[in-house]
Amino acid sequence: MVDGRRPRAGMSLALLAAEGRYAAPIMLVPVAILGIAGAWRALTPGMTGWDFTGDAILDSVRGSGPAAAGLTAWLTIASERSGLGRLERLGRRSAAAGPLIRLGVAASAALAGYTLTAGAIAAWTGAQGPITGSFPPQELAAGAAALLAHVALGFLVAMLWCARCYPVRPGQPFPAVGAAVAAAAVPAAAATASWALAAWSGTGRGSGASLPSMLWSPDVHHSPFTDWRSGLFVAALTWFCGLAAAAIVAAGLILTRRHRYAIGLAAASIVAVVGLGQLRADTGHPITPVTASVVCRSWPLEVCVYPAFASALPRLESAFTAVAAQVSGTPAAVRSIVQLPPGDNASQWPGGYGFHLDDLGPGYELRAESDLVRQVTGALNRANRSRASPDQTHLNRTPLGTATLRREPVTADIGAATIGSPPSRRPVTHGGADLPAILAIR
Amino acid sequence: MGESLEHDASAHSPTVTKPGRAAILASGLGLCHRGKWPLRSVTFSVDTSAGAVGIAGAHGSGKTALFALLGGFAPPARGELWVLGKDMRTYRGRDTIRRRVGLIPPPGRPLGFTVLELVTHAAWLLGLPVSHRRASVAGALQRLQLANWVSASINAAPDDVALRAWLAACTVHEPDLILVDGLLDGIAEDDALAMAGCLRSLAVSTALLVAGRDAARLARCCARVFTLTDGIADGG
Repeated sequence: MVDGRRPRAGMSLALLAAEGRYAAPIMLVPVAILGIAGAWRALTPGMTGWDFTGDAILDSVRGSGPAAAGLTAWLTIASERSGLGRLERLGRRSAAAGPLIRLGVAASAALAGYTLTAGAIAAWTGAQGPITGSFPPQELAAGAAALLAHVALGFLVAMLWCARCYPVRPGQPFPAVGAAVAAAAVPAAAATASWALAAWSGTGRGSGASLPSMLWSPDVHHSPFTDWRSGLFVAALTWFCGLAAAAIVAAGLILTRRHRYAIGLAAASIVAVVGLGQLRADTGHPITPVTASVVCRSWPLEVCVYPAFASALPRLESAFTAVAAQVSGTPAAVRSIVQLPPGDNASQWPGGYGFHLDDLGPGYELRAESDLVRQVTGALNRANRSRASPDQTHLNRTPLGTATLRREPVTADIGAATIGSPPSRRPVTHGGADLPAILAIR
Repeated sequence: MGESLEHDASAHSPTVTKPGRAAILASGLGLCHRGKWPLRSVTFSVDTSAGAVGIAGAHGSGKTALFALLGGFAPPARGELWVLGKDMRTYRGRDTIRRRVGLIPPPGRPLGFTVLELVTHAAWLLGLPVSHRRASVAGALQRLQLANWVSASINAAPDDVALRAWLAACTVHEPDLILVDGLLDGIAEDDALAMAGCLRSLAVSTALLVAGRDAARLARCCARVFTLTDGIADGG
């Protein structure tokens, strides 16, 4: 019945059906859940640009990748224990054919989970209203390749473990306890390595992209004032693809002991090394200043922000207008306000101010308003010193002025220290619009 | 039928003449695997056309190693081995025998498979031509009386059904020689009886060697039972 020719290449539909029914859900569900959780955690508060979505999707691999590696190892070892591996090694096809088909099913399920993650995060982003930027396909592809590398490395570890039970004695009892320990150790080791690399590299939220973090589980985050350097994610894609290919070919070499796999392993290693070299160069300076122009709102006050903060313009306008109304007509009058990158203290021009805001987390308008108040108070002080007139007592009222501009309760102690009135135990509360009235107290 | 099984203590292997097409002949046979000798020195000859042959031995006695050699999955490290008229020291001989032999490893329950999927996957693994695959699978299911269980999950099926499905998967290509390794070990007495019946029916049309730990169970389906001890065949 079996002739002497080598079997024609092809797929075992029976194996695909069985694996699709059994292994695919085991892989897909945890990868999707952990991926969405990881991406949600990595989202920058209040930021809804596509570039932030890309960062979050790439960072989702930090949670789903180790899980995918562990599940792949577990499924591979479980197949070996079930006797399927023995059956496959006795056939006329390559001993790697069955395991590689199972790896393909596992990888496809993991990618489906990743796609669900990306879809969920993209849908959430799209539901937030107008979105700046464009969807970064390179970041998306780098995340998929990183996930594939996790799956392939889990497969390789399982194959290395199973190699102890391989031929010539196909019926050798399987070390069940050791296999269970290995299956548990793979995700634990992967997760530990991931976090250790991140800790060692000093990365974390808002850290950019360092080489150690890009080698295993990507941990990237860029500010709204920067763009990723072009080529960074292409290098990451090359590295992860080379790593995944090397792991798969190495597993094939273990299974078949055929020299042709050694050639493939060498080729995949070259690709990985090229990607590593590019990655090493690109992670030195992973970000560049953003090139997008600011978005402005000109009435009743000119307020300009970076495009990623465009959705915050109405609330910022409202907060700044309240402050501006109180210093209108004074030397510190506010005419325009521009958002500045972190660390940038641009020289002020008459009536022009800058403010710093890194994200749109809860209370962002109060933080921005506080920043403006600090600058307005400074401007008032400078004007006071330049005039040096005892009549202009309002310019000396820094504590009172600051408290009032911030619309905080003004205690009698502050009022007494400022305007010389008798101390009173009863606190006096002033709204932000009361500054002219307070200034009128002599 | 001439048969002999003797302990060959000498380090060198004697030269044997080419046996008949239905015979297995080993002389000073040894197998080295990772620095150990699971099979040290075995000399025997059997005619497989006269009923099933049992090989009894404790765990680690070299049964599986012997079957790996008989099935062409490993070359002999020493000695000579002829199986169905082929010299197993040559790659061509082993390659030919691999196609003609059905080696049945200790049974397993592959996860997620139905009976039909397992046998179909085995047919694919064994390289059956697409044109013959469907008929071969149907024939194997019919031989092992599994026609009513084709859509049953292997994991949920009764033990005897799972064992028969395993047997069907490994013999779907209708081999000339079936090597059954440990199928009767570690199963319930009722299942062992049922499987012995299956093996007896297979032995009517195909040469059959059955290895196991329990000589009494082997005797239910084998005309003769030999004993293998510590990689050395010393009785028959």
